[in-house]
Amino acid sequence: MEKVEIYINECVKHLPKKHRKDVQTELQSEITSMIERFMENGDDQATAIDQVLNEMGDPKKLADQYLDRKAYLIGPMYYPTYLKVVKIVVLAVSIGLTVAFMVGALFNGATIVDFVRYISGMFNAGLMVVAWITVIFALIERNEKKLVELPAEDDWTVKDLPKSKDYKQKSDRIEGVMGLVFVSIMVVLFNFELDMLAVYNVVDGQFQQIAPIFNQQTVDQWLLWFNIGFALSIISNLIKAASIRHSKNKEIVLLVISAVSLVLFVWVFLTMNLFNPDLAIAITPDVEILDTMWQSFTNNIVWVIALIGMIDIISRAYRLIR
Amino acid sequence: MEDMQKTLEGLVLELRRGTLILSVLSQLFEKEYGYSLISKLQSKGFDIEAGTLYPLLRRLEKQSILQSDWDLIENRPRRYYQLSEQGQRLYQQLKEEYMALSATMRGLLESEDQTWKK
Repeated sequence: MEKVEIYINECVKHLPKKHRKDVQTELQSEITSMIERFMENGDDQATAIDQVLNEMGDPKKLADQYLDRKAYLIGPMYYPTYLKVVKIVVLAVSIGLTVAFMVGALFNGATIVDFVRYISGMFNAGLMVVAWITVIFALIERNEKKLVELPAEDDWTVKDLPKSKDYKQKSDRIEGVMGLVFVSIMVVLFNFELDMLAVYNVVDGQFQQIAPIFNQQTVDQWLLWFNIGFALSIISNLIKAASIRHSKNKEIVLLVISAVSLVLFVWVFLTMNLFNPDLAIAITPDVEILDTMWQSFTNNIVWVIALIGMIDIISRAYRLIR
Repeated sequence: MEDMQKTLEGLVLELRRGTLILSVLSQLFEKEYGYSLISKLQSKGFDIEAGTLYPLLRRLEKQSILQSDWDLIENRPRRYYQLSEQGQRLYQQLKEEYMALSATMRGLLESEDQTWKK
């Protein structure tokens, strides 16, 4: 009877916890009845057990029948979009890293070690972004019904044809794809190659780095928050890029993400010194006005970006209540 | 030729699948547990696999077409299924649909001339 127990466990382990016990008891009882019937017809117990379990078939398939659905990580509805997004983002990351590598090679020359680092960096970054996209799409799949109002399959009427309003959302889609490319490059730069973003000078036909634009040390300390921000941005851009129908819930999700990102952004910017404060002095130690301009730029850029963010939020909110 | 045989088997399976639920419902005016239902259907010439029937019974119960209760037989709990009140009404309607469909099909399949023409 041990085989029967293993068989039932193999089946019910795929089921949701609340149904497991119930199905287990029922299968136990049914299978026992079947075995008894086979034994009444002259089989010994071992043969009867084998025959019954053979007849029941693959326990995984039985579990699928109980679940009444195929368990998808990413279902057929989103799979094409998923593939498209993976391709775009992997391409963007590869381009970002390649450009970073080539710029580096141009300025400082490249050793075989740099090349190996570039290849392995490409592999790691690629793996990371694919993992992120997969997780996000799996989440969209799980929450599909909450996020997207799907039209019921059979009551399609001509009214369900996308309205011209939905077509206007094409700009949202392009914005999403562009955003994804931009964020992917930012992720790579912030996580791997921040020192590439710098002011350079040509000395004797050789590029020479004068000073980095960002403050590497503080960025490293705050990297987690940056990555949270990037993740939020990836989610909202994915929602924009995935050709999801116009829906209220989608707008609300985008609105919430925009608001959270904005608060996060302003907070991070005001608390840390993102920019290298000595940049202007490093370039031209003698011209004080440049230093003043750089300080004022670094102090005020946060508010400029915050203003753009506010406009985006207000226009989204307006679209929602209209 | 073997391919054609496989195609035929697939089509027959599909055809039978459509009649599965109606066949099961037709035998559930009295309480049955899974295996007794399989035997009952088999004795009337309708084969159904255990691995198909058990999950199907659950689904039908979830849809309130069947009702079920546990009974203790020979120290073993057994789950008995039966048509619910709504299930009985639904079965009658489904049966009528099937009869109408069957008549239409008969009309199509037994129609006039079925010799192949160039």
